[in-house]
Amino acid sequence: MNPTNVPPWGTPWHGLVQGGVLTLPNGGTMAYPQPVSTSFTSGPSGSITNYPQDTYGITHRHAAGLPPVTSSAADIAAGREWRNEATLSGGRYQVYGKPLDGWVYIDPDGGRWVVKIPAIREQDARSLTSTLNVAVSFLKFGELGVAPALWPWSVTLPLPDIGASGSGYLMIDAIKPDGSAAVINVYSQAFTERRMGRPPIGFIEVSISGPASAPTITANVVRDKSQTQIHPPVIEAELSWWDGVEYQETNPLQLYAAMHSLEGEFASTSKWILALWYDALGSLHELILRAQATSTYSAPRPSNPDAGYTSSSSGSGTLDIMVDATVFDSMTFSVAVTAEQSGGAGIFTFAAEVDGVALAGDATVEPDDFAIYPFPDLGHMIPFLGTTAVGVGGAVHSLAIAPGGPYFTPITAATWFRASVWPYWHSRQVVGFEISTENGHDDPASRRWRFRPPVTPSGLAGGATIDITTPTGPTYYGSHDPYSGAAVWGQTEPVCYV
Amino acid sequence: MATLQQQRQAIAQGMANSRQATGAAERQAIGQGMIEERTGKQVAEDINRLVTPARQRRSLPAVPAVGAVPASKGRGEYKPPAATTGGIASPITEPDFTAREFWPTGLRSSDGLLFLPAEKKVVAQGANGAEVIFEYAEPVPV
Repeated sequence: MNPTNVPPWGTPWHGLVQGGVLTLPNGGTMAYPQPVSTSFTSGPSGSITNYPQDTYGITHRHAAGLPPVTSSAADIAAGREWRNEATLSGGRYQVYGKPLDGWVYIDPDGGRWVVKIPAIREQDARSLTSTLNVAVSFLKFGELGVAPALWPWSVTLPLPDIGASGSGYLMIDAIKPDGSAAVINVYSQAFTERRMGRPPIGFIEVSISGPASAPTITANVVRDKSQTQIHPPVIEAELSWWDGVEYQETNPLQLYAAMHSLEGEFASTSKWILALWYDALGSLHELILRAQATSTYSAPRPSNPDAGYTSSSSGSGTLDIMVDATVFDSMTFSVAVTAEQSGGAGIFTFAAEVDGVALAGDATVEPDDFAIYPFPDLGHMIPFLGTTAVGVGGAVHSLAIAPGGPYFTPITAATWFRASVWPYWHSRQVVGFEISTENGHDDPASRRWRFRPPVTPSGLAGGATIDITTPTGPTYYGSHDPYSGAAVWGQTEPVCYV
Repeated sequence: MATLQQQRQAIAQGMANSRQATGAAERQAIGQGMIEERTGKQVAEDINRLVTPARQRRSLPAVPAVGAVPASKGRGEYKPPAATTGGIASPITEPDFTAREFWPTGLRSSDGLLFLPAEKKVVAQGANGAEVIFEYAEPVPV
């Protein structure tokens, strides 16, 4: 480091910025530019106003491998904190109060360069079946008094290697501390007014080595779709044909116009990689949503065609947020349903519990409805991203992630309850559960939303679960400090560590 | 020719001169000898010639006490510069920035993001046109 007679210099101002005010370690405050993100006004459904609640709180560390710096007693008293690493804050990577719109790479000659890839922006839908060549520029940075310099290069993103069809969107989601690599999240958009969900389809890592004048730039898929979205196969129920009645399937998701006898147990585990995070040493770690469920179902064959029909199913499981193999948060759910059909009509009774919220009720299904959906597919649980589908007296709905859901609704008008569980991004590094429940279809009064303490690269954040009944807001913001490991979440206005 | 009277006066003067010199000196010498005999000086001198004289103890010069010295005015003598055409005259101006040389090492910000090059050599000139070169030490990292 510098000779001992040279005092530390640079910027000693660090802390949490909210509303353009920085709170220093000594409790003092000072005006400070609020880290921001880029905004865009186009999206997959036409014009979508950007709700960058999670991009405000983005933080990446830039660590050049320098020894720790000591802050004097006078520094501490004045709120100054000298650090041996920098923090890039917000979606525009703000440093020293100025947005870089790129990250810092230090080449083998010691030169500092801001790396910019303008084509990686969220408003552009990209075909996942074609490669994409993008410009990568190196802009000289940080060397005071030298002439400016810019090196223009490019790299080809192997989007087809992700193994998906259709289109997706790109964002830089993680930056290696030494600036030699960055991870691109290739995702499908799932934006609501409360939440900017970005369910990943796959991940590409862009790596840099060598001098800025002649660098080696590579882009490789580090997680393809099959590695990112792991779902159990849809297991066909074991069917025993009942004499005299044929199985009629006009829509696998909705119709089971057949009388059949089912007995069985179904267990499944699925997981979805929500993000890839670098640690301080530059190794990648997976942030995972995992769902595990076991369900049983029984629909014994009636003694005769005119006899009543009783079926039942039950299931239970857990949803976990993990970093690699470590579970940092876990919630439970359970459901039980019975259906009795007699004389053409049917009665469904259900009970469920989702993260401690009890749901229960019953409903009567008229014969006409029963004609279409005479016997419920005995609800079995197939966990998938964004929710645990709780099958209640009907077929499990599709695995598509819809902006408003997914939630399970039995296919008749007599729906009983719905519950959905989403990963909620307070920031790209602050992710927790959002659990919504409704006891009875279209019963807004029973709606509840719970936000559990989130997981960060430093572990589970502190604080208590937020429990609200507001259907349209607020939006929650958060931020993680890569230097200290501190985190805030559940804030109602943008907040970011610098 | 001197008269008899003059001759007789000369003989008397001569006799007086001879008697006065002999008498005064003898009387003074006798008197000094008596003094020395009474004070023992001659004896002391005789003894000292016989023995090795004792070393005389001499005290060391006084050393001023450690500590602040009271303020005092210094004084210097102004020596006007020699009447020549060399030396450094103000202002000192750098004519060409590109002539600066920098050390490969420099000063880094605490977070390693910024780098301040350290000057190695600056070439300038004084108001009298004389070249002035500044050579700086290398900031050696620790």
